[in-house]
Order: sequence, then structure tokens, then C-alpha cells
Amino acid sequence: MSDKKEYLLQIEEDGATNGWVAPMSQEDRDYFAHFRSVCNRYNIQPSRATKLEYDFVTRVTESEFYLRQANA
Amino acid sequence: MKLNLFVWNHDLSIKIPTIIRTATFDDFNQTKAWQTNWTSRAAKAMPNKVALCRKDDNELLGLMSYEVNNCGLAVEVIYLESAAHSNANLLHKGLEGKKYIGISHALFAHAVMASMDAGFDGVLYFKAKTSRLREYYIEEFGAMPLSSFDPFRLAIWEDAAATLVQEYLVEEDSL
Repeated sequence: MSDKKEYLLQIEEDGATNGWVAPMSQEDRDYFAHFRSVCNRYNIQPSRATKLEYDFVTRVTESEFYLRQANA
Repeated sequence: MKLNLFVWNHDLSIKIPTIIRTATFDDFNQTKAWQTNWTSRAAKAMPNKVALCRKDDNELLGLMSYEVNNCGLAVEVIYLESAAHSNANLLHKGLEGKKYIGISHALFAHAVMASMDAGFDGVLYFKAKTSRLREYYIEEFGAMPLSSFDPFRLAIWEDAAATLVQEYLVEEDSL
């Protein structure tokens, strides 16, 4: 319990000092939308996906997204 | 179901009831000693700003901005900051000691609820600020990485979102 408390205090300090989240760029938003579309295409629900399925969706998204960017 | 949000005191012995409401100009005026001055032009431009406050004395604990993304079918957590009294850097400037644990957890729970209300089953996405926070989101919130190229991109999917709000959920009649 005291380890957990210490950990949470450190996290709280880290978040308060540095900020909890970084602002997302338009590229981040486009990437997320593409991730969702790949999930739909292969009928994979991320929260129920196996590790293999999730890794597959991630790799397909990255491959397509960055290839499209390179070709733009 | 509604959320009955709370934070913990610094040694996790007392649960402190909180409320969340639309942030006001008075809230932003209290952020001059924070990392981000929420009266700045950039902060003013952020959408859906909400404030987490103590229920008893209305003390401001944290601020968050989020946006419902209809393309991504999720809520984006744009910015989240906890009050200066939880900021160790500012302790050296004479402010009070660390007082609360769980400010971000409560604000994330509100974002999950906003996502549920929008019909997105609680799905959130955001970018972790540091490596340690990234690990925290993965371990404590059940967040999942979205990319190996940018490991700070994270999402909280349906099941993890349901777990995240679980401890705050109460029947509406009991509020």
C-alpha cells in the first residue's frame, strides 16, 4: 500500500509539473481516424482484440497512413 | 447512471467529494501560478473546458479541455492540468504542499462519460506527456498504444473506459 501511495504521489507530481497530456496535432487526429477505419475494415473491436489482432491493426494503420503521407 | 467524482487526500486516507462543471473566467484567473495560464489566447481557444472542484468549498482542483471527434468516433482529451498545490515546482515558490491524488483520474472519468453521452462507448484518445505518465495510463487506466512510431499516442477503448468510471458510478436517484 505504501509503495502504491508513493507511486501515485510521484505520478501526481509528474503530471502536475509537466502536464498530463500533450496537445495532439492534426496528423495525430488523422492517424486515429485511420486506425478506426482499419478496425472497421477488418471487423476488429480493439477492446476485445487479441494481441495478434491489435498488433495487426496497428501495423496496417502505420503502413497505410505513412505510405499515403509519403505519396502525397 | 451518473458519476459521483472524488479525489483522495495526499495519504489516501480520506475520499474528498468533488463536482465537475463548465469552467468560468474566475477559474481561469486562478491559474496564474499554474504551468499554463488559462487566460492565455491559446487556452481561450480550447473547446469544452471543465473544472473539477471540491464539493464542500468549491476549491479548484483541475481543468480539462476535450473535444468530441465525430470522425474518430471518440473524445479527444486536449489538455488537462491539476492545480498548483499539486505541483512540486511551485512548492518552492511558497505554495502549500501536495494535497490531492486522483485529479486526472476523475477528469478522465468525466471525459469517458462525455464519450458515452456522444454515443462513442467511452472511447478516448490522447497523447501522454512523459514516459512515466504513459506507463501510468497503460497500467492504471488500461490505455492501449496506437502506434509504434509515436508511442505516446494512446487510446482508452470501451472495456477499459467502463472500468475507469466504475468506481464513480452511482444511480441517479442516490445523488
